[in-house]
Amino acid sequence: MARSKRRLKVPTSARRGESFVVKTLAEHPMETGRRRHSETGELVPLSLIERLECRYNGDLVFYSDWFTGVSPNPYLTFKVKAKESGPVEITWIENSGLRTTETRDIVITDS
Amino acid sequence: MKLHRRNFIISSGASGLLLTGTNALAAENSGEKPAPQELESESERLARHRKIADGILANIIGERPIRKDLIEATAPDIAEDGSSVPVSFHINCSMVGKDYPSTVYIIGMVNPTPEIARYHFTKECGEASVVLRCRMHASSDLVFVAQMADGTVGAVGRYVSVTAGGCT
Repeated sequence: MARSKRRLKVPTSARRGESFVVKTLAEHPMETGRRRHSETGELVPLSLIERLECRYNGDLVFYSDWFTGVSPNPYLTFKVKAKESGPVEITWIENSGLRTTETRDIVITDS
Repeated sequence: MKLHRRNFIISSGASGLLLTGTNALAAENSGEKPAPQELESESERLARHRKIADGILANIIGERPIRKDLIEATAPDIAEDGSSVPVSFHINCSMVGKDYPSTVYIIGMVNPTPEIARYHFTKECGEASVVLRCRMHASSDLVFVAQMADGTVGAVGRYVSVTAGGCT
């Protein structure tokens, strides 16, 4: 199976105490298990990203559970409070158990 | 004359009954039962989905009073593509102590699986603001429910008209 694309945008720097925006996008069909194949008419099996986790400096700061109502190629942005410089790590977990991870480093400034 | 016509009508009516009777019997004997889903009209299906969604809402909220101005939610009035409806929400809270949302639920009131997503926040988020895209089966309310860490609950609904359903 070809590894589908995962995109992650985190600002390169942020001021301590402020919240910065994390933007995520995964290329994924998010099959609900209800769609029929256009040619064979067979049901396309369920295939979802079930969970997205965000770790900042190793701590789980935000996570999200997704069901069949999330759109294909799921896009999600949320905020994280700037504390210390370090990695922002996003993990997408599929119902097949496949985990994909992207990491970006952020520098925290005091001024 | 009159007698004849009446006899004719009675006899034809009786044979008609007999025919339909045998047809029904034949269908019963062959064991062909129509699948219940095929008999369900669209409005009945939506009503069934809505009942599930009402149950989920009741489970989350329970008997607690609903805080009305806790959530600022945006959703389009009209969604042309039900498979990708842009939505965002922001929770009006300080994110200090227990004044932060532990979980925010998004529920599509007539979706086959009404629960769309859950978002779990911590104080480290600094702000509970999320932008996402969801699927919607048909025109209905999109309900946002915020379960706060202090035990209170907030909810708000946004009605979205969906031109083409996206839950396939």
